[in-house]
Amino acid sequence: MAAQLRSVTTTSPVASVRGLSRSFGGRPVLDHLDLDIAPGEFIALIGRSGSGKSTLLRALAGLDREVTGELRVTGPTAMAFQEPRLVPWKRVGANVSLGLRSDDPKAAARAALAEVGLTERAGAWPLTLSGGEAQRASLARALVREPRLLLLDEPFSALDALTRIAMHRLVLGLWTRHQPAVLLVTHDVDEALALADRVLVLTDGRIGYSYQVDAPRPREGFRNRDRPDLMTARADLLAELGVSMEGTR
Amino acid sequence: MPGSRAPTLTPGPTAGPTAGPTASPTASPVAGTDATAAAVASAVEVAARPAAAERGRLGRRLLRSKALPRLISPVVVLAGWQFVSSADLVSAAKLPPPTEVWSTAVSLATTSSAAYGTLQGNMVASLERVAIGFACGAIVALVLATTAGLSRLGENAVDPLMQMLRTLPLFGLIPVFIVWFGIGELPKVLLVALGVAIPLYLNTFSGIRNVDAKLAELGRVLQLSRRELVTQIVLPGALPQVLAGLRQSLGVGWLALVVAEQFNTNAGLGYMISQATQFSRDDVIFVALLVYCALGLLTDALVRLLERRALSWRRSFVA
Repeated sequence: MAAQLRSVTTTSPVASVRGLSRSFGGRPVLDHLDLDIAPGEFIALIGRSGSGKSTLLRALAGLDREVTGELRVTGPTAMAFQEPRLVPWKRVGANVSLGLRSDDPKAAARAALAEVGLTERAGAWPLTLSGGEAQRASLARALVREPRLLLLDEPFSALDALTRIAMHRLVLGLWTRHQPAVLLVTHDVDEALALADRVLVLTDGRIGYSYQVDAPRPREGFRNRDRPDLMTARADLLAELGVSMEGTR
Repeated sequence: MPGSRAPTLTPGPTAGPTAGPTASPTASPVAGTDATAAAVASAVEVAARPAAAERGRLGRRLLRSKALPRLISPVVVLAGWQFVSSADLVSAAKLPPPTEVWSTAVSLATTSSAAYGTLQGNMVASLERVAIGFACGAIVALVLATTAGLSRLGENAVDPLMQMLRTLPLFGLIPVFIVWFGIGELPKVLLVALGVAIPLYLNTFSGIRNVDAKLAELGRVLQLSRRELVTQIVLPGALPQVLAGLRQSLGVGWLALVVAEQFNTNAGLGYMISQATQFSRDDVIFVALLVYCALGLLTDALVRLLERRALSWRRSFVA
């Protein structure tokens, strides 16, 4: 599946970033960063905290107007945040269809909720949802916009381990069916390797390291299986992040 | 009527024996818990004895409703008041006993006296002033607060003036209002309106400005129009504080009325009070004060009801 999707990378990118810079209070966070995201490509972006992962994501979402450089995003973009950001005074279904410009927003919302397994919660208030349910609703709200680029800002980091595994499967399933390009920001190397076609490490305001993941999916739980290639990649990525793996394993 | 039905009707602070472990009378005042407990308990009931269940449910609802426990302390105070009067600890001229206040209230309501008119007539006059003043003040406050809350220009135009007005002592304006607007209804209604407008404006303005910035950002990601952002995110987000402001402003509105009505009136509860002062009729003053109290509680309960409906999404109402 990964190979098939990667074959389209020759077509024009969904997002193209050249020389993107952004500084906060004189401290450069993004420093002439270049990045191309191919249609349907699943990219995981990792980096130490404060490395500018979220800054890049927000720039791509059009939320940061003070970036300099060239930034081109074609087609609809959707974003899911670390906290689900459901509007508490709107029921789940209305949250999903909020701002949706289609012929039948309610039907579209119902379909999206069905896809994330939340059909029966459509009429619930967001504050009654569990963390996993809320994040699924947030994914449904992003997906219903049929994005060509889906930006995910650490959406699983606040979830417990079991819920997170279920969410990984859900996201991979949705990605396979809808084929948006995905840029997933995470601080979890294992998550990045389990999900992405390409893992990028953000260091000193640029893409400092890129790893093409060729191993077939599913890769969930690779640390317990015989996957030396992924284990090597994991050690390399952690080294890039400044974590030494000597003496572990 | 079989004797075995008795337990479900037993009054008292403890829950009926059929209620089970889920029904604790000291449980949180959250409505949902009570309702669930009542539902569970009554489900058991219905299976056993439908007729008794109907009656038992009513009794239980009264017991577990939020209203009943709240009545206890006022009743205790009333009993204490009656005791103090009956035991002659305070002279009846200074503090008339509740029984006397009650009989005065009844006679005021049933007969129209030259000095006071009827109790109902005065209540209607007062309610009318509050209603008109409240409506005017609330509309103006909401319009101004929305203008100031939603635009920088509006804020610069409106907010400094409102901040100045808010520091003015409300009752210091009475002489000015009398000079400007005479001694008719207008200055009284305006005083109420001003008293209502200030807290409602302040709360609405800050409610709008304190809407979660993350939700505003979400609005941008979802590409909401400005109109959608205001109607779907900003105003509903400000609503809890608007309603808190509404309750506050109703309190101030009644307060302003009491004061305004004691000058140059010929009807209203405040008029009753000023007349009674001249005739040294403490019992009449107490009747008027208690009616103010009851009307204040009534209007507050209306806003609380509104709150329950409009904010049903909140955790405290949901859980």
